Amino acid sequence: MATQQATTERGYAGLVEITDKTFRVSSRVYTEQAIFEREIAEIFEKTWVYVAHDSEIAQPGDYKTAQVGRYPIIVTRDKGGAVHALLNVCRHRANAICRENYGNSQNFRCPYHAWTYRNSGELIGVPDGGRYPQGFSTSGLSLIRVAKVDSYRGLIFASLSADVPKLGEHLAPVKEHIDLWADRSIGGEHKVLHPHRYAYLGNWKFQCENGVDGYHPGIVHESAFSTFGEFGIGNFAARDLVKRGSISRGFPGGHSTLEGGALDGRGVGRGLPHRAEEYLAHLREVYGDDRAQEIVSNRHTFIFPNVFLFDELVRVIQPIALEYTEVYSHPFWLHGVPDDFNTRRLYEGTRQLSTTGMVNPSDLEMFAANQTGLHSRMEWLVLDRGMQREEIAADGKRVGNYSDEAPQRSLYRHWAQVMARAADGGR
Amino acid sequence: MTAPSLTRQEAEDFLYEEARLLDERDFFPWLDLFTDDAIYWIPIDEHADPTRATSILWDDAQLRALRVHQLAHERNFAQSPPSRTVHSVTNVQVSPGGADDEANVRCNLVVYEIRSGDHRQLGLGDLRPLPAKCLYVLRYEERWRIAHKKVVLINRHMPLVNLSFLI
Ligand code: FES
Ligand SMILES: [Fe+2]
Repeated sequence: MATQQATTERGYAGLVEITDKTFRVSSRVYTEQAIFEREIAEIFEKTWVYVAHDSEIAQPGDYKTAQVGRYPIIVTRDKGGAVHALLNVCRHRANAICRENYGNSQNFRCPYHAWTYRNSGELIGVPDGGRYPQGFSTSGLSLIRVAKVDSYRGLIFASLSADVPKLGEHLAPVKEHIDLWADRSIGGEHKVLHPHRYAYLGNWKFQCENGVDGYHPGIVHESAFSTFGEFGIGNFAARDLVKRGSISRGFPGGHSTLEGGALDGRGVGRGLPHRAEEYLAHLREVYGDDRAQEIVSNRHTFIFPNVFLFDELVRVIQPIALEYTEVYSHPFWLHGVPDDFNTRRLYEGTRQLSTTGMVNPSDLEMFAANQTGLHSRMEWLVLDRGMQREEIAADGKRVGNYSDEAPQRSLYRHWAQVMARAADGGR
Repeated sequence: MTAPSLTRQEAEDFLYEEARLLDERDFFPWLDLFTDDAIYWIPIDEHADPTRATSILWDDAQLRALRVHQLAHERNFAQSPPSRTVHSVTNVQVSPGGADDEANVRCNLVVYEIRSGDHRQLGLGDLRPLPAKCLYVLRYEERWRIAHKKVVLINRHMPLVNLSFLI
């Protein structure tokens, strides 16, 4: 029986109930305001979250604004090339100092009273500074740094808490998949474009679950896949994926993958077959046959808690409210391939995955319907699919077939740990 | 081919007819309004090159056709229940096109959209206005057709929700 102490360690861990045959998640994780706020505080404001790609701030002076949990931040590149993640908050009276999404500037001048900061954070100008009392010093009034910022293969992550494992350790379980994704560029890194932004009426975790959910595509996307079929475009028969041995993986740390396999070069601009062939040949030269094949295989990689690496784009999840989530979808340009091939990938990505796309809006509709159903407070959601049949490796990695819920279970195993840790007073 | 010059009234008639087809969900005739090489574009950066920048929508003839076929599919969940729309066209201005057989038409557009169905459910029953500036290139091919359609939404940089209907 539940006790009155809803937020004890047991309370949070008890929201995910695991036996050897069942994996149940409480509907409260999607419907309770207090739990949402705790997620923001403990997951988004205390652990590593994705904030930018190197290529978005490629040049000295480039910056991008972002949000970590509730904190507005600026990610900058200073004139020496170093990346900084700074709170977008004036040290005078807390005005947001930068109001743009992207730009290039050596300094930021607060619009309120014109305190001015270098893009590396130092306060370098205070108008009429003589009015401040003796001993007033600007040196302790630099923009506040996000405690940790680090990157791997161009992906920049930040943590508002210094008390986190090294980024390398956080990413270790999915490192191999990040490498496969990044190796699609030859002789350089991807160039990530400005995002297409969309939103849905539902909890942020729906998007985390869905991008690695191989159970739904043949059903939710039937109208898209059958239309593609009629027009002779690609092979999207998602049900066949299970038959041909496509897989899903759940990793410790909440990360996961959904791996469709080769799929006739899916995700590499199949609308231009001659380019896809050239590209594959080029990859073979550089990486050898087997790795080249792995690299071009269709793969969705989820890095807990807020970013997906897809074939054509990077998808960033921004929780805004309990039932409202924003998603920033960044197409990316491969390095070392002809422009028309990248253009084709861009076209295909827009066709599938923008909010006007033929695939993505149906997912968002499921999220709204999912949230609506949860208003009933029906107690438990069933995530048992593939349990007992998944392979469990020594390192905790679990591998299921394409339509199994191994990725979702890994999400909630980790979620329960982080949330319980928080309730334990461990910070 | 030399085109008859396009008057504002003719441009308005053309745009009103397009709006009617969309609002009545008469999508196959809508496809015929376009030339074969037409691009229908909803940019984020209206001055960008759509072959190199992120767009909200960027359709050639095949993709327009795919879209319309999908809209006719009974299991298109983003459109089940379907959107109802009102396309309101105003501020129409005509100027000479880049070629003899072309005319440029600029107008303002507000699309009002609402999903039918159980309005108490999330995602249904919200009346949404989408204001935009539109730039058309019409080309005379026995009749006036759309050679280029660009819809510049004023909230194009904002997170948009379910644009699975035609704008
Ligand atoms: S709040 Fe920034 S200068 Fe006053
Ligand atoms: Fe989907």
